[in-house]
Amino acid sequence: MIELEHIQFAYPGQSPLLKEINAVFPQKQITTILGPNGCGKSTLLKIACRLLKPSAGRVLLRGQDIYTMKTKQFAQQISLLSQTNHPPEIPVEDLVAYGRYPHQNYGQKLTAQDRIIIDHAISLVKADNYRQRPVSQLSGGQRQRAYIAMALAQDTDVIFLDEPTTYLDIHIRFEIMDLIRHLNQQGKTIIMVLHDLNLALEYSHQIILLDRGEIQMQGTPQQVLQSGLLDRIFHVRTHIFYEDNQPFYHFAKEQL
Amino acid sequence: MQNGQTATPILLICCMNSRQKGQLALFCTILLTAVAILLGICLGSTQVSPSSFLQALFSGDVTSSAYRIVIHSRLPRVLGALLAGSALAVSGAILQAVLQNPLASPNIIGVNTGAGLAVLLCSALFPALDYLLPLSAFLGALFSAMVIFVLAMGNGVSKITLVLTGIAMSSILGAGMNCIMILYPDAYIGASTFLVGGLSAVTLKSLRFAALYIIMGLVLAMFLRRDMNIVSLGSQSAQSLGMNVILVRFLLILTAAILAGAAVSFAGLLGFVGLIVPHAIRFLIGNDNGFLVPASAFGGAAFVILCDLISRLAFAPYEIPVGILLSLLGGPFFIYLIIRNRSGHYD
Repeated sequence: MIELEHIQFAYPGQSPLLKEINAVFPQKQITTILGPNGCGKSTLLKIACRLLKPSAGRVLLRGQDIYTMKTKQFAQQISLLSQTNHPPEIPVEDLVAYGRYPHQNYGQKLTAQDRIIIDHAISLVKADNYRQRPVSQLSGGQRQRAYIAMALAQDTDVIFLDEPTTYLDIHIRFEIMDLIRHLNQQGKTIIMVLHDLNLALEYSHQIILLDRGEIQMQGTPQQVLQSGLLDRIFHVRTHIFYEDNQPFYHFAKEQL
Repeated sequence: MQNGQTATPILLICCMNSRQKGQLALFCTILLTAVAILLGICLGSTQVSPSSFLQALFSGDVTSSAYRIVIHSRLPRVLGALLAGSALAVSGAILQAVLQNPLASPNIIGVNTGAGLAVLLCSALFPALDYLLPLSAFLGALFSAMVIFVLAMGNGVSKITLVLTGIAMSSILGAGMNCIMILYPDAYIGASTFLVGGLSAVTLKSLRFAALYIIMGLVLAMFLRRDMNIVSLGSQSAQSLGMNVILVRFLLILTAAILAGAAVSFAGLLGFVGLIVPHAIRFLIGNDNGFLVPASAFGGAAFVILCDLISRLAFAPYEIPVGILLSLLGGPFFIYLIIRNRSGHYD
């Protein structure tokens, strides 16, 4: 679906952050990029969705270099839930309606079809009850649902999410991850950056382990666990428990 | 609405969705502008009744006192207030969206003073070429706006820093204006009220070029108003929605500069219209620029016409420049905006 080929990246005047990245984000799967702080995982996400231009290498979407596509054409296929610090003072339904922007012609108003898609997106994230409230007045979880609805209204096959669960209470994190899994089951390809190892292992099909500017491993959660790389990269000891054949993970402090 | 019988108009407004509120606000501001135009033309040191005004207008009796008052005194003033008010209000709304900063306004971030310096410079160096005034005002405004914009693009620049930079730039450019006024005291007609902003020197002749710029700016703003919504989400979100963010932001800055520059070219440094009017409209209808832009245009027009009327009548037979009244209203409002979200909203 999306292929990263020989991606290199450095911020101006700094040593290379990403050295030689080759990765594949498979279609209709949930792929999570994991890595310690400052390893460049958010940067990699931004490169893949064209917010940052790599110093070298290219990104292919269905075999086509993303920089050969028109901006709107690209936005019809890929949406991004970025980390937002300043929630706007507009009603949820207006925010979701902005998701239709790449599908509209210049100055065009919302069509009946647009409104159906917007309503569908709002009900899919279960935001019907607060669709007229300003985004700035919502709780963290509701706000994230509103932004996810905007990405859904964009009606793309691929959704990128940059740390969608940060700053949320633990039960809300599960709610948001369940919602993301639900979207995946509806056919969306999901690529995200997460901080939380438990959530990443539980909800992903594929995990990309990033450290020191390179991909240390790409594989299923099982393969990643068996490799022992988590212990080395995150300086932890991993314990796995089974209950009714369901694995549970616990990450303890590394023993010196 | 569950209880239809006891519903008051206030309740009705509360039950409206944002779209209906926007339409209502737009209708109200248009009505208010019409009333303000009528009052501005009829009231003054000599009252002109609406009927004698209309009679004068259609009879074409150029010698009647009503005709002369209306055509030579009242009409230019009301038109000037209308144009300056709508231009400055829309310019403020645009700057607030594109800089994502509720404190932005053409006078506060130095756009007005940039235009003012250019106007004085132009009238000192090329006194005969009055058609150059709006153009040079636009270039001056654009210069200031671009400086602030480039600063705002940098990381870690807080909203307050941006405002402080604007104020610093205003005082530098203001020093330049004072210099020109001392060196070329006769360069600009009505220079004494230029620094505070006033409409007493406005003539139909001085409006004609500025009016073209303002109409062009308003049309541009109407085309770009939905993009302003997307831009206000932040550049990352706007870009991932498929917007050419750099181009749109530049076009918006350009539009804001055209509008503020043209207004300054004949009205001087009228302040705070771009702050008061868009925020008042936002308070009523929310942040949808689809309605905010046209409602600000009419609201700004009505506001400046009425303020000018008050400043003409309050101390009759003397009149104070309308800019003084606007600063008296705008200064406290600016402080209120700063205090309102002191808790880190602007960091």
